[in-house]
Amino acid sequence: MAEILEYKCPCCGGAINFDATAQKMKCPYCDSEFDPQAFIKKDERLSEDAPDEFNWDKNAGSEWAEGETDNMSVFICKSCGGEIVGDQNTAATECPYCGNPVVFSGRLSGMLKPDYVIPFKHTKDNAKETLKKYVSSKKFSPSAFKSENRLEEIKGIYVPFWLFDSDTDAAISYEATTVHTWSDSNYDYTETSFFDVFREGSMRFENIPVDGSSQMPDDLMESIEPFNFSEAVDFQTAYLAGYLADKYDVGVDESIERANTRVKSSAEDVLRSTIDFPYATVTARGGSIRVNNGKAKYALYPVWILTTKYKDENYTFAMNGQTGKFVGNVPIDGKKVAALMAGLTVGLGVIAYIIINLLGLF
Amino acid sequence: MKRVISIALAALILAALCMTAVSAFDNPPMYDEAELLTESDNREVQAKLQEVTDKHGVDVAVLTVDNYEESTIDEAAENVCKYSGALAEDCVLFMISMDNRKWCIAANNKGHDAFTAYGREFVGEELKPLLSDSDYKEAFLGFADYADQFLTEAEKGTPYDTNHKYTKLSDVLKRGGISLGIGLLIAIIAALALKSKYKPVRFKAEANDYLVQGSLELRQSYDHFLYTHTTRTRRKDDNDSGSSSHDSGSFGSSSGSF
Repeated sequence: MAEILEYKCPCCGGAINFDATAQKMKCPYCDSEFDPQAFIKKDERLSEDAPDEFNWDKNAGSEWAEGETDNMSVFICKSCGGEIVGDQNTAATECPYCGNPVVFSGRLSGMLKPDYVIPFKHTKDNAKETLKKYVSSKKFSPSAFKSENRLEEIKGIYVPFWLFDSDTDAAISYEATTVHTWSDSNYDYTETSFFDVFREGSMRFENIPVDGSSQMPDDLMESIEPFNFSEAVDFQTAYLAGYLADKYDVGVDESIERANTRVKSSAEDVLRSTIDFPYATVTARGGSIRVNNGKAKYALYPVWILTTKYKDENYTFAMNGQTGKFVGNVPIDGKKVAALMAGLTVGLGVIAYIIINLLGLF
Repeated sequence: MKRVISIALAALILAALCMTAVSAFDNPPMYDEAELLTESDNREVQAKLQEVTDKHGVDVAVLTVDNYEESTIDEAAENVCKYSGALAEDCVLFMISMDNRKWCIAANNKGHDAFTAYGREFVGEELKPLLSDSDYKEAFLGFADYADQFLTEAEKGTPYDTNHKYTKLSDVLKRGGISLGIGLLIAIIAALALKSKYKPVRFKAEANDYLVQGSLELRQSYDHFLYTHTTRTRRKDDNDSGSSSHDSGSFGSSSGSF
């Protein structure tokens, strides 16, 4: 069957043809002319564009050795279903996720042994002190929040993460523009030049973490990144002593999609950073990402979870137990923000008025 | 004797020239040779001009003509101000010519102190829309008002000029509104930045922290020019107003079209 090839005008979207006289591709609608070589090159490349491909070795984690889990217990929250792993000395009285009492369930079973663990470097006192400083530095939070906000619970938890390594091949095409303006006695001219920019290369990502616990908010975990994997050690149950360890309930298959999304975004950024010419705009128009030698690992990362209560509402904060990075949403006092905005509007308005008058604008 | 006759003849010729445009300007401060005003409007404008003249001791006059014999309206207005004898040495004249639809503001001595080139062009441009709309009475009353304000400011020793511009209420409101708008815009940006700082929990879009340094290997790279798109917009002509100014000693005039 015959195949009809149609080229679209980049200016107006109309179908364009090869103009034999001009020896150029010409749009009959807007009269724009194009170098056919640019289209041929673009065509060749588009035909080569393969669909995104992500190949992962998902053999993360390993089986527990005989007797290795003897000193470990599982707590199951009846309220939210969160499963917490601890050693026999851990006395969890409240679920770190929802605050409800947790119930001792039984011996650990049916889960993979982590490959790595990053031990806690920051103590509970560090976490408390950081929370205090964090909250007191929020000048636009309600004053009552700072004075009445009570620390309800603080837990050191080893959070399960899937770590993804990948050699990534990326081919991205961008549309770039330069803008040149000039004037004559009658008109102002704006000339926008369009360029087809293409970059293809490979890069390696290592240890992209994806939260393997459905109970732990993913955005909270990504907010305390990055973790420094160079300090990770082979997993030993000894590191769990005195801490809780969340059991993964999001499998490696379900977590890959999140890693792929982040790899794709980064690959596009990395290739974009190789565009040296100072274009006015650079917009990604398409391309493909291929992950080779993708490998997943299973690790436990240290996180302090702090839960505070203010006006019957729980506020959850997290501190990276390795780096000390602390995050958490705090309420904003609408009245304070309104006062700030009013002050800025009037103050900056007066300054703007003085400048406008001095320069004789408007 | 010959020299005396020559001077006398020159004086007569000059006097004749001066009379061309203003031969009938015998009833200052308002003479409506082009008959643009009704009798009652004429009286009203006359009274207003006289009031300002008396208040400041500077002749504030309006002259309308169909045409003039001088090559430019500036020359015609200068002749009226300086040589006709119709106006005092300290004067400000607003003259319009209907055949070629020209306006001119000329000022001499104290009038010139109050009406610098900036002031003459400003007042002319402000009155131009009224002239274009044939609203002559309002244009002449407006001129009298401006003359009053400009002369008052000059008497204080701070005449309106490029370094001390006349400010209209509408300008103040416009600049005030724009200034508050700028302040509000910055305040909104600051509030959004504040909100972001207080709600820092969010997903990471990328994995840049986990890129192995030096691992990037660029295999293919090109930038191909595709096409150029050019737009043009007509420039606003700075000279659309058409006003121009001339100053010489204690006399100055500005003129334009309406």
